[in-house]
Amino acid sequence: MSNIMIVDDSMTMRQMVNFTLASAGHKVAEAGNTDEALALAQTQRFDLVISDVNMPGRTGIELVAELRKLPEYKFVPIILLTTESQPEMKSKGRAAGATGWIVKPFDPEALLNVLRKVLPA
Amino acid sequence: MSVDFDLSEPEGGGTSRGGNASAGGGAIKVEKPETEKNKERAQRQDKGKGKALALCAAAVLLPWIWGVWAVPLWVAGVSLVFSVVSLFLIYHVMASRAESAPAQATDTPVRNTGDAVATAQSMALMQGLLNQWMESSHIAGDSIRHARASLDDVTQQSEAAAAKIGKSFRVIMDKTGQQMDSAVRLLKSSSADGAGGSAWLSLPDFITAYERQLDNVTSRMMDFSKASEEMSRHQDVVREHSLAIDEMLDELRNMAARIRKLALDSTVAANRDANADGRWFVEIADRIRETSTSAHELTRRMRDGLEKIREVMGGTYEELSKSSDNVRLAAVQAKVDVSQLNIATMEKAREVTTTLEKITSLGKDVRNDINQIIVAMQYQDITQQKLQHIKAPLLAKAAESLSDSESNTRAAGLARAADGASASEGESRIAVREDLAPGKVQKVDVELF
Amino acid sequence: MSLDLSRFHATFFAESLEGLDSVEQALLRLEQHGHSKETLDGIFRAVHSLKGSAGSLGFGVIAELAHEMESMLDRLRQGTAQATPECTNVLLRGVDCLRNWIFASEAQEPVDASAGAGIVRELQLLLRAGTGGATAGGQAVAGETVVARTKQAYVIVFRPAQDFFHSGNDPARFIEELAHLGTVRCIVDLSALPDVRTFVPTTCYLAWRISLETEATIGDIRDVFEWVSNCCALEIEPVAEPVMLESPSAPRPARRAEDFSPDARREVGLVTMHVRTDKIDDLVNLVGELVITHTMLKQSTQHLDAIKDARAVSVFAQLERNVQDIQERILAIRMMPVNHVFGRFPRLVRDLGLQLGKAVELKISGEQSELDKSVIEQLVDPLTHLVRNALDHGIELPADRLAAGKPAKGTLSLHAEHRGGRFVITVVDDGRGINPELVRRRAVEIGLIAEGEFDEASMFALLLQPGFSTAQKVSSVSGRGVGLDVVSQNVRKLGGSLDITSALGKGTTFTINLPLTLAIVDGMIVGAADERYIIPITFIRECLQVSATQVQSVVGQGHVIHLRGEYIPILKLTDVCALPDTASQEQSVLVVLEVENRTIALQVDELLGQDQVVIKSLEANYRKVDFMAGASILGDGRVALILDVTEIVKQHASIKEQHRGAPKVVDAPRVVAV
Repeated sequence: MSNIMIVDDSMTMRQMVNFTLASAGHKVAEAGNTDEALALAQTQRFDLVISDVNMPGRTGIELVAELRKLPEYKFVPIILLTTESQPEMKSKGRAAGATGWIVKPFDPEALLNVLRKVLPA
Repeated sequence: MSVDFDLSEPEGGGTSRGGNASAGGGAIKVEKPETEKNKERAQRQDKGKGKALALCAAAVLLPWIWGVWAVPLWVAGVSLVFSVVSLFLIYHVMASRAESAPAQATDTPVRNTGDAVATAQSMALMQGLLNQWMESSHIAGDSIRHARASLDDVTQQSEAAAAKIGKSFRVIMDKTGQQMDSAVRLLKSSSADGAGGSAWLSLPDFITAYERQLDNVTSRMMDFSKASEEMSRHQDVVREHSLAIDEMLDELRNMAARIRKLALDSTVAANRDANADGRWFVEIADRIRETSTSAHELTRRMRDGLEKIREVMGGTYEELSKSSDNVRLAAVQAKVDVSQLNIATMEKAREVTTTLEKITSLGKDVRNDINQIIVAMQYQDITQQKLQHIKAPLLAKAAESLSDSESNTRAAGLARAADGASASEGESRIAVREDLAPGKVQKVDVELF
Repeated sequence: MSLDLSRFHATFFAESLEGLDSVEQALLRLEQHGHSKETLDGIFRAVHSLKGSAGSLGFGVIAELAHEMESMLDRLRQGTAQATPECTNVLLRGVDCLRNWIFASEAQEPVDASAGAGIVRELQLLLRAGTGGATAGGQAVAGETVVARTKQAYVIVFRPAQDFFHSGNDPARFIEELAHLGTVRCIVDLSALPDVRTFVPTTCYLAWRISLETEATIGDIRDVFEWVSNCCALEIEPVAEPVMLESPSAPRPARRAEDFSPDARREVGLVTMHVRTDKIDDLVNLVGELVITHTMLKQSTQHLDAIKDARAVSVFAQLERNVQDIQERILAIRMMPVNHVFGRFPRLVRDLGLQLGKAVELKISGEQSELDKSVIEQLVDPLTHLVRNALDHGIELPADRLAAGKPAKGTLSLHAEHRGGRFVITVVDDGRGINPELVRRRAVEIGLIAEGEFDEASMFALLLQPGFSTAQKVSSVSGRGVGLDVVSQNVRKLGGSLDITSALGKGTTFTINLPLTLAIVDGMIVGAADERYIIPITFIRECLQVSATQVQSVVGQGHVIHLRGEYIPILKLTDVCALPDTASQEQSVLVVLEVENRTIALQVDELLGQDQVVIKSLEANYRKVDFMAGASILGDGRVALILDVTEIVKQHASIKEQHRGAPKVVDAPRVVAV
């Protein structure tokens, strides 16, 4: 029963993630781009942030970097949801402080498994 | 400005003269040698013309000379004058034309050159523009075709996906419906199962019946346990008695020992005191009597105790047999009842198991279907985004190249219009591009196409 | 530049040889136990990385052959080709060829490329044939065992980088993930934890050593750590059996790295170094000297008062502890698992079995038991000979075995264990056993014994004589008769003993009994007739003082003592050493020695104490002396001989025999140690 934020410019994507996580009992908040996400992150306390990489405006990687600057989000797991699985992207993400990544399209079971990896049981 | 073009179709000059402005010369350069040549030609032409006139005059005058004889002099004279005058006029007209022809010949090349130059340029420009247009339209056509194909793809896929998702939803609904049905059926256990009969109870009834049986057996069991409590109490009593008997046996043994000692003493005493009076005898006899009394007493007590034990044992035995009979009856009864239920139970249990399994597997299927839907929708989304990314630059590029060509064309057209309006000036304005009145442009467009 | 390259060469050779060894073992495992995806994956990775390294260092011929083998392995692991015996044979030949080439390159000799050409051709043929007849999913190869995921044990060392937490990851989650794959046991390494004053809570100081039993593959395990593979050091090693975990700080000299990924190697926190053995030998010698010096120092500090010189006493105690620690660690360095020797036998047994037409199953147990390196190296020849013997003479042909009511496949077991302070290796076969009749006839033939002098009990001693062999003809495998006696000699040189037991028709067992280390031993110092002797403590059951009355005399057996229900024969140390008998008979000290269920009581004059002594070899410095395992220098500078208790106990009867008569003075070992 954790508080999760999903950031993606596509509504479909947000809906899918929301559905999957909500049916597992988590509370999900949505944001459409980096700015919205940062604003939302400061008003609520999230246990996990899932973010797309390619978004209009600032990319997901920049979001990670910005989030890590906030003291409350220094050690919160942040997972990138992306279509690419290139090593460069991965290393950029990790350098910015991302916890891990999931490749789109995700299998809902796999997403829940990943949650098990980063959230306290 | 040297314009490199090749004029194959000069405008204006009907004669071959106009076409002598050949490539390799600027309009200005051509002018000078042309006019000189023409002057010479004019002079020659004049001379030739004079000779011909004289002959004509002679030919014409001849009839008049003959007419003097036939006609009054004044008639002859007037007609002669008229004919001479007309001849003179003819001659003048022809001379002036000969003049103007070379003059024209010198002018038109100039204008032709200017016009030709401008035209040539425009032609070239048009060629270029046409090429550009062709290219752009190719590209645009390709891009559009490409985009259309992708859009077709996407449309197809969306349709397929939508259909699939719709179907999946329907399937999910079906499956959940099935689950519901099975569960309800299980609970109600309607006779739609097929086999009727009192053995097939509904699940709740079933449970109640079973519970009743259990109660029966349990209460009998409780009776039995009560009886066994009684029995253990009796056991305690028996144990007490037997302990008492043990004590008595001990006493007996002691007595036996005492008697033995007595016997020994007497022999010793007998040996020792052969001559004394029977005092010792009395002593011993007394002692023996005591011992026998206590022995009697002891046996009596023992007999009593044994009696009591026997009583208790008898009672216990009765109780035991009574309660064991009870239990046996109850067990038999329970067995009969239970065996009736057993068959039904097994069947029921099997049915319940299979139905539960079905429900569970349906549930799993449903979950899988939902997962597939989620994945399918993501694919949709991804494809859409990818297309956006492809389509936008493609069409933008196409649009760009089209608008480039368009503006080029505008510029060229306007330049041409400007040329046509002031061709005598011999200027060519090719580099005019912007800020032209739309009205003019329209006209140019129409003209060109 | 060339200098750099050659340094890489050395590493490449060493690693490639290790890799080829593991590939060979894995191929044999595949053959025995059937298809296993993880084994195939492992082999593929090993060959792949071999190809890569060879290619990049310019060993083109090696890289080519590796490439062909890799293609074959790729097909195999994807299931598009079958792992037939011919296939395994070719791959094994490829491994041999690569090995030879690597040796050649190491010795800077030219590489014979033609040797590999034939193998390459065969591989290509197999590849083409394999695609034609592929079974789906690579299951049920040739009607043999179905693919069953077997449990495999792994040891995983997981050392997160210090900024591990900064990416929002939590090491505990990863260990929990591992627990989802199988059973996990975990030991934490706290060695990097700093003092509480310098402790930063957001830094990760911990590391873990995890043992995992799972059906998953190494690939699956790596996947668990996918996200953090760049910010932690990860090492995954499959092990043969579940290993009792030691704390990560203990040195592990023999590291079998089956995991070849460059990331792991670069970032691993534990580093191995190739150290020349002579350096270690020097070190061991120095430690020995240190122990002697320390003992001498201890003697001279006996007079120190515990209160007045408390400081000095505590310092000496500290020194003693340090010396002991150093000694333990150094000795541990030299200890290697005996698998180093056993490792080559599966291949040998397989090839030899094929050659002789015999079906043999090789069972190896206890291969993780550790033994001193020098001892291990000297064991290779004797063990090899014993194994060949067992295959050649011991195990019968399958037809014969069936006729005798045994299973057609023979069993050869190699077992190693620590037992009572010694190291015991047994080679057991269930073959035809040793035929006493044949032995007798042969012994008579070569004149070892006279006709009619045969004694079955001492038959085995005859076998160990030079020139003995009951084989009718000399085969290329064995039968030259230079075998068992050489084996016995080698074993004796190591200070051990060779025992043979056999049952006709049932099988034969060879037992090699060795000391654990040649260097240092805990001993009890005893005195007899003014001389000092040392008895290794591992053999001593108890010591007691007895009066003459407790000693009883048994006809024909000499003196015995009755101790808690058993009668133990008494042997005088002076008899053993052929010294004049000086002990007073009133009160004597008995040291009860026990060797493999045989017990004797050794009578000495006095007990002088317990100490650690450095064994100095007598043979190296002087010559072999009966019943003496070595010599040592005591704290006071005197020389003491170390008793070979095994021999003494075994032969105590004959010793008594010898000394029943007048004591002869065999040259008493009075040696001046160098």
